[in-house]
Amino acid sequence: MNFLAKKSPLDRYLADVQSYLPRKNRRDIVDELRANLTEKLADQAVEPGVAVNEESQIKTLSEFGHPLRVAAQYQGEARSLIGPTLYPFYRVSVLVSLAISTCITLIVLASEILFRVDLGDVSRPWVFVNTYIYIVGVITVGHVLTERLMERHQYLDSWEPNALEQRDNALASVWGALISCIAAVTWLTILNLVSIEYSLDTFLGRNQNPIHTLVLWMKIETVILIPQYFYLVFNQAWSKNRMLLRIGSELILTVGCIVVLLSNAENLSFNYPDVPPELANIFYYVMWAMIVATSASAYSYWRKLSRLNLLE
Amino acid sequence: MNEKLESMRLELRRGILILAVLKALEQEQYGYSLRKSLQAVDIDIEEGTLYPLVRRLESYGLLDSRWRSEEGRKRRYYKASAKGKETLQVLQTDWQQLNRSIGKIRS
Repeated sequence: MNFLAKKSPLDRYLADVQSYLPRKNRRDIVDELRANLTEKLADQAVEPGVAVNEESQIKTLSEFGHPLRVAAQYQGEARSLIGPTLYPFYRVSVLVSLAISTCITLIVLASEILFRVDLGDVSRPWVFVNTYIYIVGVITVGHVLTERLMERHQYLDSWEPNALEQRDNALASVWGALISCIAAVTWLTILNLVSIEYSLDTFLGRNQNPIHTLVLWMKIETVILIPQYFYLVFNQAWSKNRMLLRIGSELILTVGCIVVLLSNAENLSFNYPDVPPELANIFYYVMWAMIVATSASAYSYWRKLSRLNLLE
Repeated sequence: MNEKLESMRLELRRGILILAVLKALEQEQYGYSLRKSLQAVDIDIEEGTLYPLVRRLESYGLLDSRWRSEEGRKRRYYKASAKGKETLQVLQTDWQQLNRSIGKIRS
């Protein structure tokens, strides 16, 4: 057998189509394509039984279409990673998350420039580039999984118009839950700018850095919030336990801020000697503001709990 | 505009194509002969679209197929299955209904 023998355009064409086909039945598809194309070429032959020349083969194959396009037609049902239903949310999620990340970048850079704060690794540009890639990756994976889950649970086919009309405080919004889910994952990604090692040290009491302490409590709260939001995407009715869990999650951050305030007020200046005292004071005011905000949020959920008679 | 018009025509024909293929395959045929029989009734469809469509219909259970040698050539023959014939009936009824509806709109 001469392996160097020149293959006909038809052979080369079919080999190319085959390389793009699904492995499962590529042989069978190519055999059938060969049979049909051979019929066509024989039909075009000037004299019956005489093989068509290379030029005619090329012309026929050109009309048949690019191998990639032909193979694509055999791929079955069109399948996309993120379908048109979820795409608008994907786009908004990516844009919002990148905008938030950019704002944080600018704030950090402004702190560095205006207050000469040395935030170490956090301020390095490559960390932010990594964060952007990480955010887009996490959001994409989240949407791909949601797309598959929605498809599996036939969520969009089993909706009830009545459920839309009955929307009240007892029900969360599906899209609200979905967006919250994405926002929480994005927030966790941003929080992970502070290495997990710092958080672990803070957890074990080896690190007294107030920013690391705050980030640790924020991470705990976010990790507890994500499954709650995720569950709300599929079941929007609030129950007593879910409402209490939500209140608990808010209070975790309240406790975190209190812990930061109770820690030695000198810690911030000790860890960041370049931070001017005015900025350190602002940090502690922010802690107070967060305590008020998270407590108010927990209280509003408590009010909602009583209003919906879920306490009985 | 021509491009848009072409895309609309393609979309319209794509829906009807399944009906035409099922109808043509009431008689057993292989890929290339099917293409020629459709061409003979002025349904000109690209082979790169027709052959994958036929396989897809087979995977839905609407067609039966078998390899057979004839005139010294190996060919894969297709024919509408029982399920395919039922589907054809439904599609034909729908198609006629649509035709009548369009006619009513015109009048």
